[in-house]
Amino acid sequence: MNQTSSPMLSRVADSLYWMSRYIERAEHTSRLIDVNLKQMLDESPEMSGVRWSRVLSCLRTDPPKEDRTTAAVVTWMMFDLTNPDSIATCVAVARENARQIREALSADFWENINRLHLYVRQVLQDPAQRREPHEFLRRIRIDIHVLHGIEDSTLVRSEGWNFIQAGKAVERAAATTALLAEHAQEFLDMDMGGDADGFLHWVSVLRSCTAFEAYIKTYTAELHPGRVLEFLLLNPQFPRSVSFCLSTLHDCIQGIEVEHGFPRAAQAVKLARRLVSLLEFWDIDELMGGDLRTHLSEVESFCGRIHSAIEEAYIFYPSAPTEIREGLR
Amino acid sequence: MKPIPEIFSKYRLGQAYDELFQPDMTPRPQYQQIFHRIADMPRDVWHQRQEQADLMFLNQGITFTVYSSNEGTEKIFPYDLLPRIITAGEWAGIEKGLEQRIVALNLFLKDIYHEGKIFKDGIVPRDMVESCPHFRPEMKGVRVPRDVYVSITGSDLIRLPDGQFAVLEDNLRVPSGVSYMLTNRQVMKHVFPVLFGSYDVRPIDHYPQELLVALKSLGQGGIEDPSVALLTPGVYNSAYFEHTFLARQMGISLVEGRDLVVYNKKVYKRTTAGLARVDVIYRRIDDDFLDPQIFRPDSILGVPGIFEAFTAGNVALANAPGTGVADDKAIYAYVPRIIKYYLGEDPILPNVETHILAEEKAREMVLKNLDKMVVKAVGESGGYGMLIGPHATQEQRDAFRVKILENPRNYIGQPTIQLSQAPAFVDGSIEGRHVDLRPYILFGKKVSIVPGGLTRVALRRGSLVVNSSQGGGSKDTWVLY
Repeated sequence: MNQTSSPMLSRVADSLYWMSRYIERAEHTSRLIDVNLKQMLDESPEMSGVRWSRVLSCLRTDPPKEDRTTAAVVTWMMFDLTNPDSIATCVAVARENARQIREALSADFWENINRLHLYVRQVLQDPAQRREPHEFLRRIRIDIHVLHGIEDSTLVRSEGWNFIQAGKAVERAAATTALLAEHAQEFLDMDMGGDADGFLHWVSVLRSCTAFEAYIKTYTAELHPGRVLEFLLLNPQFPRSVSFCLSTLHDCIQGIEVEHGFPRAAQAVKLARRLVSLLEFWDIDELMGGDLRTHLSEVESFCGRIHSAIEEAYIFYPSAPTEIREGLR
Repeated sequence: MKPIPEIFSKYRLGQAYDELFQPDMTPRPQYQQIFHRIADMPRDVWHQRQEQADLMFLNQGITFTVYSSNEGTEKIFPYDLLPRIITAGEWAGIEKGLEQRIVALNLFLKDIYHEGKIFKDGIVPRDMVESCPHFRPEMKGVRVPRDVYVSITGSDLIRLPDGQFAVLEDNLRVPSGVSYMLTNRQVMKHVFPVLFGSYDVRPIDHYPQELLVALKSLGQGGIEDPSVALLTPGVYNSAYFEHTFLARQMGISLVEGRDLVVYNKKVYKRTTAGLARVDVIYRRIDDDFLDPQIFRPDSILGVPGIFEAFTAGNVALANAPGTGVADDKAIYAYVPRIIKYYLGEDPILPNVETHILAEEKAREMVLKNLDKMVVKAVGESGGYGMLIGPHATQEQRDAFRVKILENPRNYIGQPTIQLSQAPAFVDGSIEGRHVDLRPYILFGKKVSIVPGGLTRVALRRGSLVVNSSQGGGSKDTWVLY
């Protein structure tokens, strides 16, 4: 018999989606901070204010204080629980979401996200450990990679899985797009970037998406702004390119629809498909010659619309007798 | 006789029955092996194992939240490393006694909400029942699926000084703790695999499956595979871990009130595919909060209209509303008579001697002996609303005297009972601590009890209160083949 599980509670789907987004956000933030801390080792200290302002802008976040020293920004982005986007907050929120839907996760997954949470709590209470941001950042990323591994090897590929992957894809697409938008001007201004500063700059952009090695394998070590843009935006094979994430997102919604056996999120599927095709026809030279920022912000606003369409279809639909599916148990 | 190993040097026998030692301080046969293992084990190994166990609870998030400062800290329930052992013979008696009791209590519930024969025959006074805070007049004349009112019971047993098990109270509403029974076993196997393997312990891991079968047996309307959900008050409830645990182990939805809606007297859950029908609900939410249309109107945890769906026979609730009347502490005193009345049998498991303070003679006797008695408020649980005479101050006793006289119906008196004591690992030594036992009784198509239960232990020396809210811990319970 081909037994599939009954449909998921809307609340559970919502928590899985957000849990996944917050895990991804914690990972991306920790990598971005780590890359920039390392980058600073090779540059003059007075550059740090500009650098951190740009990092904050890539993360679409803005601290209440004007202080842009390394210590202030790093503390705020890593440990500040009043910052809704800090790594500590992201881990706490992801874990709280997981706690509320423990029955929808595997025991291994829960135990590991809980352990990550306990680790963050412990660091928050220990000044000695807080002084070692590299170790903290490393541990966060490793633990999240472990989570992804457990996810892959223990979770059933049903709609819950698709909600988790959709959350991850949306978050990644948004993060990479924001990173590209922040560097839009340099893509247009700088040519080859043959000098050391230029090289380091593009390395750090690529590393911010773990794309450095992947880029080199595709294009060799010749770092060319247009190619960097093409790789991070349009490469169909690299898992953090905007294009890749959007295809994944489309496939996830489609997968949920197929599992249900009837269309519910037609609008979300349609929007995702439109966005994927839009990117398919983008030409990198045209983008470099034209208004890159406008195109990127179009991607961002499309992502927002897809997100809302998912929520309307599966999560926040009105409770009304018209929503009753006879025979559904 | 060999001298007692050093780790037992603080162990004292008192008036209570001792689970481990016979009166001459030699271990009982079923504890022989474990006694020798303990004696051989260095102290630091004990500490190590304790840490290992505690870490397992912490990592698995088996915790409760303490809101002392503005950010909640999560704490684990104390787990005692040493198992409590019950022999096959002892268990056989417990099992038979509990089955008898739960069958009789179900008949009682059906009777009081329908014909009321037991009132007419003068066995239990009608006003004693109808004045119970948990009596639900809304349940009068309501047929429940297969006449099963109580699908899940957690009765608290204690062991009297003569070794006899007795029922201290019945929990017929939403008994909790079964997840601890199950996780204590997992932790035990992890921390002491060899010791565990050296005993023939009956398994308990199939409890969730048995529970699911019992719940599905309540499905109505000829549905082949009824949809079952566990209704939780939510993440802030202290038993939330247990709710997620059981839902996961049974593979059913864990729903909150806001996930459910009622249309046309049918209950639906909000799913990603639309509204899906729910047939059976294992509710872990008290009657009071179940349905704001019928019970407390301010409840935001419940589901408006669910009671009507229930009375229309479109959804089964386990346990049924109104079962709390049968675990009222005053009704408890009548249970031996209830068993005799419905089954024509003598109770296999005795009650603890109980005085109903609504009765004048009993009240005078208890008030005169307050320093020797335990007085309990009838509608309370969890160790609240309780006076332990010998351990109370004069002021506390006086205050209770006033409360009793104000509302005698609300109280019962019992002699102070020395719960049996079992070995517990405390501050680097092994000492005797008082324990009780809560087995879980499932009533589906038949009564089934997994061999075991939750042994709660009063970790404070001399304390007789085992509740987790009052400094209690728990230990694994081994029923032997």
